[in-house]
Amino acid sequence: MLETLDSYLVKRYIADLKRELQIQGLAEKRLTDILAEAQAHIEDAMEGAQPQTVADVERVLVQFGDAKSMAKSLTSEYARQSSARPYLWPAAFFVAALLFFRNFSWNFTLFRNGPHSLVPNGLHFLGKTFFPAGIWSGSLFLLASLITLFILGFRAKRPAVGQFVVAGIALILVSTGWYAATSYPTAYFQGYDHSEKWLYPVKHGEYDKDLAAMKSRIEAFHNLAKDLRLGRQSFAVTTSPASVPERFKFGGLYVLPEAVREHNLGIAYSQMWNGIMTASWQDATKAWGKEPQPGRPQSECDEISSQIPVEVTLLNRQIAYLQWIHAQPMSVQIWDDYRMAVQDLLPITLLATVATGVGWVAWITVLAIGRGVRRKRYRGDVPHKA
Amino acid sequence: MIYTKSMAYKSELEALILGALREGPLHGYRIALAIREKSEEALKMGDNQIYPTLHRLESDGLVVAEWQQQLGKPARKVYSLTETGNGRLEHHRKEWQRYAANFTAVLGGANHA
Repeated sequence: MLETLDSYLVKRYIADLKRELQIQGLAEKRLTDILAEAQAHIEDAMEGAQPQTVADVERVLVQFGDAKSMAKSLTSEYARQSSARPYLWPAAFFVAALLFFRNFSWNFTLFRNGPHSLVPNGLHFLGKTFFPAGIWSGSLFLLASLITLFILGFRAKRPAVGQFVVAGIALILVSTGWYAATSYPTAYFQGYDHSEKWLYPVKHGEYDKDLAAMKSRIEAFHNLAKDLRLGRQSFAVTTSPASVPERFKFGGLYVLPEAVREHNLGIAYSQMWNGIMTASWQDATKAWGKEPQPGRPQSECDEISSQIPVEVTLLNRQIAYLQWIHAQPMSVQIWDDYRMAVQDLLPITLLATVATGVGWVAWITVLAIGRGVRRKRYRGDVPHKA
Repeated sequence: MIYTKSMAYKSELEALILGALREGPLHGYRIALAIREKSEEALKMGDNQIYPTLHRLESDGLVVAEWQQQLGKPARKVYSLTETGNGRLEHHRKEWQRYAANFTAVLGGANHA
């Protein structure tokens, strides 16, 4: 009878161990090997101990140890062994690629500018069917990168924040060095009080060209001011459509102040949206007059006129900054080079880290749910006590 | 590097297992028994605690394992030390000697009453 009880207690222990290992989600092959090893160990221990009573048998099993803790520590060890490769350095590629595509695709609408779009023309039909019309190439690439980073985080089965910190710092240092070696960091200003300073690089060889472009733009705004005064005179209520100069007409339409502004800044009327031109003489005289637009404090002409001094001031600040930084030693320039690198790389690296981190969180959530489901499923397998 | 208690435990168990295997291949029960007997029951733990460490040592190439069939009994998995394992054992031995010497230096010699 003792021999029967002995083997029953061992079998029950092995059954408990098997259940705990199954709850932990261990693969079948490993499970079979572990159970065989445990059974051999316990039988050797029994043979050595020569138990005479139930208490002796249980003492041998206690000496072997608790099944649950063995299952947990074994599965932790196997998880450590089988976890995905520890480093996600390739993810740094996405950070650099995001910058590259952002700079090239920022102004390109996916389904409006065929030759420039990221997606080949042949996919336009599919794109128009499944995506809204205004989607940007850069947005699609961003979305694809975020999905890929999420999958990387899920497969890594561990948080990878430290790796992104290191990769981000390395990219910032490399970018800072690259900017210092190749360009001047210059600023443009924006915001409601124009105090927000954004830095952008002007290549060493394009310093004069960039200065000339900004001065030319100031000249364009001065010309715009003259054109707006002329336009106001031409579209006065007391004048007639026939007396409007040809420069304020295009394709049978009257050009509005917004169109004149865009035209002075280098855009051809043929490339403009028809909404800033009108066939209606009444609409044209309203836009060019002093009567405020619906819901706005000023007429279109007055609004654009009031922006001109502000734009010219900002451009003069930009020119002054570029001329100043051009004259500074590297020890001054490199600080702005660093800030230029950080303003782009830091948010993108953080975004990549968050996407990977969300993948990791998704993994541990799925793991916890899986364990809970398996635990619930195996409760019915517990053998009845004698 | 901060040396935590769990790291200490893992390192000690690794050293004990490698030490038990230095005289020849053993299976799991014999390894646990060797540790208990050679330490005169001073070092005790649940026998099954050796298995995660054994599998880690096998994965790291410090030990190799093979199944041995037995007549009328379940097969046993027998572990042997590799050259790399032997080198690691030597490293552990030196670490412990240094550790013991440092401890002795701080605590002083035998108390002559």
